[in-house]
Amino acid sequence: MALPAYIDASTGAITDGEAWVAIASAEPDSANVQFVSTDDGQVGDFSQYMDLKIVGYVRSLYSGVSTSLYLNLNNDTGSNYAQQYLYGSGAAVASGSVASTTYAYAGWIAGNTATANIFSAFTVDLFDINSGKYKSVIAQSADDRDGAGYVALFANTWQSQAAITEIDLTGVGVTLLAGTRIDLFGVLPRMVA
Amino acid sequence: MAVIEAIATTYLEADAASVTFSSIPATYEHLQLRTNIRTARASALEPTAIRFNGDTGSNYASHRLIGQSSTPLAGRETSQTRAYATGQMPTATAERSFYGSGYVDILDYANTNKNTTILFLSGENEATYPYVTFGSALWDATAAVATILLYPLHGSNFARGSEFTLYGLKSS
Repeated sequence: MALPAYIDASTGAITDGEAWVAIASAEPDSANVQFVSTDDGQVGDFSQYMDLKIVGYVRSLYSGVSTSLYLNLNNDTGSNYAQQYLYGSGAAVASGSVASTTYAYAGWIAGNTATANIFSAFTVDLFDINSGKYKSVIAQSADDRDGAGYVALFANTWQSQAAITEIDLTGVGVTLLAGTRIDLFGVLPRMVA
Repeated sequence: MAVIEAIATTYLEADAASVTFSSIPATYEHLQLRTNIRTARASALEPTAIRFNGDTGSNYASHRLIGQSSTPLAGRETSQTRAYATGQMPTATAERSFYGSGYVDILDYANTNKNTTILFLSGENEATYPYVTFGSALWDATAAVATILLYPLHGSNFARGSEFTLYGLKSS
């Protein structure tokens, strides 16, 4: 396991470094954004983090006003994901759950017919990513389109005990529009006696 | 100077009735608590309770917005002896690898002129009872938060492998 960034490699002393470490950023104009652990003991090595956090601002070329942004881990496209969601749209509120599906939800994103310059915001938190537990993934999504759209919360579980080493975000059947920006952060623990 | 610092992590190597963060320095602007939880309760589902500074009085209020399968719910409580830190979490009735997770933001926690308001987001997908919960709570006291107590609401233990990390966020 890589030495955590809050430990000085030369002295072994704990430092007061940033607990959130900027790992990578993507400004894609393709259908898929992929983050892969570098497994080299450097900043991009997922094995040193307790959690991961993704922050995104996204629009797509989907032919309608809004589509979904899926998340897959370790390139697993099997039926190993479960979701519980809660959303509001105007005065309507709804919730639902899906078991044994092939993706987690990161959010809903504006499509090509949404008003120009409207992008959708989302955050995703991935917890205890190097544990032998099933991985818990929580997302918030703001697909606000000026009088229409959704605000949504998602609780996802990836039913795998593997450490997370790859994250794929995919606009469903569409290309993410230029101007989209997605940032990945590593969240460090601080083990104390 | 770091903007976000990890203050302490507790990773349970055995079941425990509670987890406490004490002597929290007042040198940050805000706190964030991140959790990954399962409890040892023999019945399904158990929320996580939170208290500040050892206050067991009826000084807490909460709101929760919940999605449980196809049923959205909302509710509130007042004059409680604890607030919520998470919605429902998996228990001993769930498959062994299921843990729930979430985070709690504790804002302006060191300011002694304001009551403390928190917000949280949590979720779990235990097969029979999936939940996502967005909530808030008010601690009706102006003291700086120096101690945080977390415990399973129905009196069981946090299960081995549950994890809790407290972060401090600094301002400019």
